[in-house]
Amino acid sequence: MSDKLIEFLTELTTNEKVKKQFLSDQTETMRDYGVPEEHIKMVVEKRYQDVIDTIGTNYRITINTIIDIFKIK
Amino acid sequence: MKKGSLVVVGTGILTPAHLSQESIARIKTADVVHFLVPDPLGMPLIKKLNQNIKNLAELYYDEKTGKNGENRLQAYDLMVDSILQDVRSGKEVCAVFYGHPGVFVYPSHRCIGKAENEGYDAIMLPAISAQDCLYSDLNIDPGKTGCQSLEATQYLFYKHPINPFAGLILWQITVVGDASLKRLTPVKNGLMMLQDKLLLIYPKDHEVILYEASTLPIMLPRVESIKLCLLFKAKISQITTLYIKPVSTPPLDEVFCNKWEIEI
Repeated sequence: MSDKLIEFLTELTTNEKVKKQFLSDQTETMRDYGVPEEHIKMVVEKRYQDVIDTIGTNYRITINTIIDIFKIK
Repeated sequence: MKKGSLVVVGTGILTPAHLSQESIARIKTADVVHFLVPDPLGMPLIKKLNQNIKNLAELYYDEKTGKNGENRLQAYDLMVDSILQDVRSGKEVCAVFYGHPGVFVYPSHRCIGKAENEGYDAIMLPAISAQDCLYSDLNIDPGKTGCQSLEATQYLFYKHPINPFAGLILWQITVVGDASLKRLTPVKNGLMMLQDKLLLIYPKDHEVILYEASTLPIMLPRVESIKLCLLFKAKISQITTLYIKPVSTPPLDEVFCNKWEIEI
């Protein structure tokens, strides 16, 4: 269900033309990419945590370091 | 049998925009790609570049169920074993990690070391780390005052001499003080311990910055200034980093300058 939102955000990350279009009209740009209305609302209302939860970001796996004192144990 | 090899690459912080051309080429040509990427924007691209993929997140330690070992360290070792198994079987392996693959990433360095010890070619390519994003977002030039960068728990448990005239970056504050290696949320008094130790060096009203790089193109980075004495009740997430500004310009070393007749 979040495929279209992921597809759009990926495009927005790398495509300057889409970025410019998005800055002038967020809703219409997302509609052009087939993003569902409820997801458009999330983005427009800046409910970023909902966006993160919807696309399935897993920040847990960003913790990847063990300091030496624990490796010795 | 073909001799296996390993290349470790990073996605950067804002994927896929931060993925370098060099890393893309390595992902594309590998026999198998192992990846540990937290956001779903990088995944479709990796899948598009190479069909033969293994998601290392499946081996990540689960605090609630105790899945994949008894703590994070054991889970990281499982990831290393998974990668090395493919190298030993003669494959060209590409391991993809979030951010810079060599910055605060235990399994990547462990893989390289083990592969080299066993006689395989193993290299790591540079990528954009959260520290690089921090310099951009906070408009800080580390060449101006100097910059210290420490893992927060390491700072707590070791006697690190801190230079208050240079900036200080403390990483992984969400697990600060955790000796169990099981938690992914702050330990009781974790931030209080950190604040307590920092107050030995910095004044209580010294400004510190809670920083989170932008991980989505629709979001701005989090840049929140607070007083050091309020750190204990700060709202933090798994990607929050603490930046502590220098207290002032360092005093001039007049003795040295006079000795060498340097006029400033």
